[in-house]
Parts: sequence; C-alpha cells; structure tokens
Amino acid sequence: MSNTLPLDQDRENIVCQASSRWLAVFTSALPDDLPGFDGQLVAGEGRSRKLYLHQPPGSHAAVWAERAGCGVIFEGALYNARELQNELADIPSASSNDAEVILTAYERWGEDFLKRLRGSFALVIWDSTREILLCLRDPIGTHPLFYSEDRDALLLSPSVQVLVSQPQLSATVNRAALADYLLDRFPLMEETFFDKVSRVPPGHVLRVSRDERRTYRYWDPAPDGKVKWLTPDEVERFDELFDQAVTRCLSLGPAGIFLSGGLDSVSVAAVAAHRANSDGLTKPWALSLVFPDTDVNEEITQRGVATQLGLPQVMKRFYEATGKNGLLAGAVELNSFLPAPINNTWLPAYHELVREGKSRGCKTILTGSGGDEWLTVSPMLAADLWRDWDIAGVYRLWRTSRRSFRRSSFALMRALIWTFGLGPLVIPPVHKFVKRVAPSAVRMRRRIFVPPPTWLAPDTELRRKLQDRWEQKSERETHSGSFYLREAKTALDHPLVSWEIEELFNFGQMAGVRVLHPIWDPDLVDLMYRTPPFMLLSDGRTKGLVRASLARRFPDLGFEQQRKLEATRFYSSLIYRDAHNIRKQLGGSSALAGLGVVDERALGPAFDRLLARGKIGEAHLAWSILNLESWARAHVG
Amino acid sequence: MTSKSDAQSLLSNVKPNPNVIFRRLDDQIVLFHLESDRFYELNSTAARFWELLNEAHDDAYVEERMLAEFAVDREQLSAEAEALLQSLKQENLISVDE
Repeated sequence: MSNTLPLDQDRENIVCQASSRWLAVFTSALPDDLPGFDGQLVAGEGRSRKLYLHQPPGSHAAVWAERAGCGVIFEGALYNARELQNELADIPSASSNDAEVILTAYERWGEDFLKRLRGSFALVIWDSTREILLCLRDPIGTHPLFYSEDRDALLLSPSVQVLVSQPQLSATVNRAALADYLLDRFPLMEETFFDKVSRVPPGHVLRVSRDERRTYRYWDPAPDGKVKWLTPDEVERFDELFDQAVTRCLSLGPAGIFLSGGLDSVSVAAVAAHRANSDGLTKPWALSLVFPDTDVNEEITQRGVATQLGLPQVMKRFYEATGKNGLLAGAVELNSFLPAPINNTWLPAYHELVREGKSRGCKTILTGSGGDEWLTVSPMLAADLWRDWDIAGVYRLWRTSRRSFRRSSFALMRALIWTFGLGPLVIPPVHKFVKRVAPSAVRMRRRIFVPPPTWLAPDTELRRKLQDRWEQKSERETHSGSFYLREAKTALDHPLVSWEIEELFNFGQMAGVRVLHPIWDPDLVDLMYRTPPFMLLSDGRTKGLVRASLARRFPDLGFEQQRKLEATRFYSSLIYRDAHNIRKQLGGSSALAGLGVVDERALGPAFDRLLARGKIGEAHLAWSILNLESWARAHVG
Repeated sequence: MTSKSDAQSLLSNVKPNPNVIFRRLDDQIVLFHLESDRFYELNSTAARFWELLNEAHDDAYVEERMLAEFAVDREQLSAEAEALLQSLKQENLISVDE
C-alpha cells in the first residue's frame, strides 16, 4: 500500500493574501524628498500641503476620490453606503466607489456627518481649501489606522509594519510600553509598541488644521458624559438592531462563526442562520473548538446549537488545533507576524479553525466578541448603588451574579461590598486627602505597597518614566459621576480593547479572511450603552436581552440557567505545563534585557520561583514575560 | 559521477529569503515577507517543498524526499518544481544564485 500523497493541484501553489498595506503621506515637501516614495497625488495640487497615496503593486485595497481640492482615501466596508447614496441623490450609485460617496457627503454636510458612517474602515480626508485633514477609524475601531511624523510629513497606514519599514522612520521599540505591560498597565491610548508609531483611537478623528492638531471622539453614545437612558419600549429595538448588525456582516460574503457554547456566539449564530434562511444566503459554517478540560468543554451545546440551526459544522479538538508544539509555542510563533505582542493567547488554536472555514469557502468569520462588555453590566454598578444607599439594588445585583457566574456566594458578596462597592467610594477621597496633607506619605505608601518587581526596569531613567506615566494617567482620570458609566466608557476607550480588535484584524489578514464582531456594531452598542443596567439583567440573570430568546429557541440546551464558563484554570495549567520549555528554547530574556526592560540576572530566579509556586493568578505574568521576550526578539533590529 | 536530474539542477543555488518567516497550519504554510509586508499561503505540496528548502538539505535530498512523499514521477516533479520556483522567485520569497 502506498503512503504517498497526491500533488495538491486543486489549489494554486502560492496565494498572496489581499492586505491593507497602503501608505498615505500628508506633506508640504515634494515626494522626491521622501526616499523611495512613489505615491499618487490624491489632493492638494497647487496648495502648500498635499495628500499622496502609495499602494503596493497590484493592490487596490484603498480607494480614493478627489474634487475641487478635496481628497478622500478610504479602505474597508461602508455598511450604509446605499443609504447615504439615496440621500445624496446627485451621485450615480452604479459608478461611485465608497470614497466618492464619502466625498459627496462631506461636501454636503461637512465634518459633522462623520458620526453617521457605519462600517469597518480607515478614512483620510484632506480638504485643501479649508486646510483641514481628518484621519479616522470606524466608530468601534475594527479597522486600524496608525500614524507617524517625519519632519513636516504625517504618514498614515493601517499597518504598523508599513510605517516602521519606511527608511526615514525609526523602528525603535517602546521600552516603557513593554515594561508597563509587565505591570498590567496601559496608560496611553494612542501609543503602540513602537516609539514612532501612534494609533488613531477607535471612534476618534485626528484633526489637523493650520493652527492645531487634536483628537476628538466623533461617535459617542454619551456625548459630554451624559446618557440619555432608553425607555423599555426603546430597548425593544434590540432584536431589530442585532439583526441589522449580523446582516451587515453577512453582506460581506460567505461566513463562518466561531461557535462556543456561550450566549454571545450562539446568539450571533442563531440570527445568522435565520438571516441566511430568509435571504437565501449560503449557510454559515459553525466553527467550534472543543476544549478537553471538563470545566470549559461545551461540545454538547456546540453540537446541539449547530444541529438545531441546521448549520454545517467543523469541530476541532483543542490539542489537534494547537498541534504537537502546543498553544504557547504557537503564540510565540505568531508574535513574529504581529505588530504588538500577542494579546489573545488562544489565537493559534483559532488560526487552525479559520483555515478549516476558509477551505470551505468562508470569506468572513463572525465572533461573539463584545458580549461580556455590552450584554451584561459592569460590577462597578455596585459602587453607584452603595453611593445611593440602594441596599435592595446591591442585593439584587448579588443575586443576579450568583445565578450567572460560577463563583462562591461569599466571594461575590465580598466583591460587591468592597472591591466594586465601598472600596471605589472610599479609597480615592482618602488618597486625595492624604496627598494634600502629607504627599510624602502617599509616595511612601506607593513604595511600600506597589513595589515594581526588582527585575523590572533596572535603569533609573525607565523606572522614573514608568512612574511619571502612571501619575499622569491618574491625573487625567475623572473621579466624579457614575462608576458604571465610567466603566462603560472604558470599554470603548481602553487601549487593550483597541489592541485586541487590531490583533483580530491582523490575524484575519494573515489568514486571508475578514474577522467581524456583530455585537460591537455601533448602533447596537449605542442601544446597550443607554439601556438601564437592570434592564440588561432582566429575569435576574446577566445577558437577559439574549438569554430569554435563546432559551425559547433551544429549550433543551439549558440557556435559561447557563452560567459563564471561566477558562482561567485550564489556561494557567497550559502555561505552567509549557512555560519552562518555552523559556529554555528562548534561552532567557536577552532581548528584553538588551532593551533594559528587565534585569536578566534577577529575572531568572524570580521566574523559577513563579513557576514553582504555580499560582493560578500568577500564570499570566509568567506568560507575559515569555510573550514579550519572543515579540521583542522578532522586532528588535 | 552521476549527473544531476532536472529537478536537482533547478534546486541548486536556491535559497529561501531570510526575510521570510513562516508558520505551518496542518498541511498548509503561511508565509510572511518582512520586507514587502505581505502574507502568502502555500498549498500542501508547496508547503512541504518550502520546509525541505528551509532545512538546508542538498538538492538531491529535497528531490528524493518529494519523490518519496508524493505520488509523482521524476519528470512531473521537475515540471512542478520549475513552476513553483518561478512563483516563489517572482514574489521574492527565494533567491537563486545565477
């Protein structure tokens, strides 16, 4: 019997993935002044500053349009292009690209229309008559946009790599960001892991005029920090907007869905299956990762949901997906491909799942991401309830949490009384008072209670910088108003959220698919942001808006009582199993030590002690050290 | 002294571009060209070929492994290898010392 394989002649030997590698240059200098730049002039002919676009040969990822000195560069998907075209009756829909639609809308309505844009996109507008440059990402930031400055030029791209590979720009990594990562601190929204590259924050515009440069939020569910709470009737639009969100994603081509057994992805799958049936679309593939650990295994639900929805399904065993080298080795490997250290350690396993989906024709992958941020309420609600002496509300929140999470009643009560309750109310005023009457005591307290590990930031300059960054961040924070709303705002404005979504974008580019997150749809987020918290907890459990509907649809799968699974124990077991070997393969932390981020001699024994303790809560630190080291190795020149 | 086969002749002096990193995914490989900043996907045949090229074996070994692992004769392998090398070279994923 022969064990040879046939040549794979069904598919091309090499397929180059379409990718977002364009570079826009906004400058007053002639392009000859930019070494190697061969861009197309988009707008600004005869003006002091011009906007150019360079795309790799054969790439048409970005489209552009120009009229009367105003130029637009656009890349991505504009979900409401047709709606805008209908309003702008003077543009022929058949012949216009999305850049032309946006250009016409800008001419008609000005800068204010930006908040009406829906989609996944990066956009640059240069209005040379008014001398205003607008650079933005979609409201949620599912499409990245980064920028760098070089003399008087501003360089923009969705790709960090494109920016740092420009010969005139430095590719120096950001030491402070790496060190802060090891302290679990992310103080600056705009910074990246490269010194010279900044991000345009999600939902924000970077606005450059003759006199100033500023960044402002153009899409905001709570302008000026004020929320217009919805009535129960208005909240009933949830189903309609959820349907719209999924339909928008399905409009971009045959889809796969990362189907776990949780409420978020099951809700997405249920709506997608319904839309596919009613609109005659190809049925989405359910792509499921089967975890081996009994704590997190959801195979019965995964199979049950796909069967009842009539979705074709790929079930991939976790260890089969991670391969013989394991999850962490895969994550270390992926770091070479990513512009920031890997954020979602599970990605290598999902990469295999995407490959399965792609081989079955999937062009997009839908996730249930966003459910934990928006379909439930932040426990910081407890602080608001304590402040109003709403003891009945705290009890109600505790009862809801007890029915929704797999934690002990006592632990939940303690968290709602102190960690998320009285603690946030009491600590900041006390801290402020002590700082006013005895500032040295605050500094001493910090030294005593929050000492950075001895192995971190060995040089004093970096140590001081870390302290400054943290203090500046603390000063920028608001300490008034609702704790619950501050947390909601954090879900939109936290660097980790942006980073995670950017990572999934890059992951999609690598895998050759578009990764989309319907629950993060801005119209849906707007509704959930403004839904009174106890309406999100209807029926006394979290995710009430989708839970009841799923319980009706799948009566045998127990969604009405489902509690959130937590993979922390399984995750830490994987780390403690493989961390020693990974560190051995890396041969220590020479790249981080070379950058002065760690003291290698002190870190070695500390790392060994960390592994010997084997505490679940410390596993992530062990992984972070390995993660950063492997990323730094791949990116330090 | 034996003369080189067509496939071996093609393979001599071929080197993977050191600025290309790769990741195996089951039977495929994803390549990332650090200079052009582009991702590529190799099918199973090209993936195995790429791995053997990267293992720095001599051209005869690469040819023998491909013949052993795939149901292909020497002539067909030579034709396939030529087409594949042409594509890899065109994308600057390999260099060939002329």
